[in-house]
Amino acid sequence: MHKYKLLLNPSLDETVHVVNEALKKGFLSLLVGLCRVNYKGRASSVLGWGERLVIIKRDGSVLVHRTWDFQPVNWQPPGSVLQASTRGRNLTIRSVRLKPRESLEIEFEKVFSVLVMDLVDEAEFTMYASEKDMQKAVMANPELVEEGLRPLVKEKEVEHGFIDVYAVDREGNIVIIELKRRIATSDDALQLSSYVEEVKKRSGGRGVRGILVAPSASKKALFLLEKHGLEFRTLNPQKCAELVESSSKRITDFF
Amino acid sequence: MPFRAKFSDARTWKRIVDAISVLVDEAIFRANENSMRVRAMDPSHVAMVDIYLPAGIFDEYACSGEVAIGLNLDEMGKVMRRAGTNDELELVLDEAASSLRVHLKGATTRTFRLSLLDIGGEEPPTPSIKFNVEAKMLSDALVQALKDAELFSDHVRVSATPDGVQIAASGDTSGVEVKIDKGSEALLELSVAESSRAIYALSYLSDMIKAASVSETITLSFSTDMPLKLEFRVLGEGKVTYWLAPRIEAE
Repeated sequence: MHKYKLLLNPSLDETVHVVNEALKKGFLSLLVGLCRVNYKGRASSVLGWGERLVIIKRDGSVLVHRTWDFQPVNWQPPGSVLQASTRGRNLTIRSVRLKPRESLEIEFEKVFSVLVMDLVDEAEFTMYASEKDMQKAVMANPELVEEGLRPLVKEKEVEHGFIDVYAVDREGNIVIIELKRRIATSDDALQLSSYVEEVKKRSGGRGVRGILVAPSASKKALFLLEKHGLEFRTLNPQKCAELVESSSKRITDFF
Repeated sequence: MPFRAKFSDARTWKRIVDAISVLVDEAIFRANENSMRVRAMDPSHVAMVDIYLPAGIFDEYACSGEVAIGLNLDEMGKVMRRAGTNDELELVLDEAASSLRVHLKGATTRTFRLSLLDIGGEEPPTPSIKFNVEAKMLSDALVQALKDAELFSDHVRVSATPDGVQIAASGDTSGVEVKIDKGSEALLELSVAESSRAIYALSYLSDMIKAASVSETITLSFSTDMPLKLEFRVLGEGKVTYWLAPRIEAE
């Protein structure tokens, strides 16, 4: 952390100034105080006066946290446009989103403290998402690889191993998909090539495509894929794991 | 004294508290002249419980106005585990001391004092669902079916046709299917507007049916890929309702 500013019991004017500065500089703001919240969008909600935490992130995300529960009571996603101003006696932070049209208004009567910080976080988030998750996700959502793709079978046994996903494309070509949860290597390209060759022998003239699917590929792998007339598609294993996990619904989805 | 309630059998209250604490550690008991209610969602928002206790099921009940009693259910549970089989229970709200007095009367009279929690929070609304299946069955039939399912998987397929209800679970290579047929002694009532099937997490369902097994019968309602509702009665007019969100399998 390089720079920060902490104000205890600031006036509302000081808070507005500090928050707007933070928004301009892309710093993160944390406000603690007595506020009420109005949200209007697909639904609408009103939250009366209470002592809460408000977090404003550099990408426009806003979270309003009460003193219980791990989830924010109100929030706005990244991309929202924010502004802090004093309206009458109180401080208002307004966050607006256009598509879909949503507005979150947080009105503070008193700010106990405001902390603005320039935080640095460039670490990679490694989730131990497996190839099984990628397989499940692609079988259920083939458009992750290509529009119009129809998956037929997973784990199709062939002479040299098992094909992760055996599918058919919009033109009726057979599509062989090899999934890797880490950067694809030249060995992976050769593995895919051997599967494609084998299936071609028995496909009776029908077109056979091979697609290597991974979060990224080495230069050598991409070169080999091109050489053998095969394709590469980027797919993030973490996204697949989230898709598979989000198969559990919440009661709140049904209110 | 704004609130006072008595159960001649302390275990009734213990069972009510247990039914809520499978989902949450704290809850607000809202009482008025006519009834006491609790509604809470578990932290992951996958399940919800609603308890309705009309004044008539208590041996004595008095409440003036509306009171909200925030309780730590762990603490309450510990106290209730100390109740003897023949103990009488009385709950008295002591607003001045910000606590709830729990009197257990058996051979001796013990008074436990539980601090009230200042839990805020809006009550979750009722899910708007149209149930295509409603089945009233012996709770033990469901208890046993879920225990069978637990051998194979962490989730269970619940389905119903006009012929009956089926509970199935499968692992990598093996599985089980339990049929609760219409006309059998386990299935007391069945109405199926449309054959339905859905998948639910066993951990939640098993906890819920364990709480429900204090009642001989339970009512199960669901629709395809929609939440399941599990209801059972407490002392006739009292009701415990659970909702459990479905799992949508990407298979």
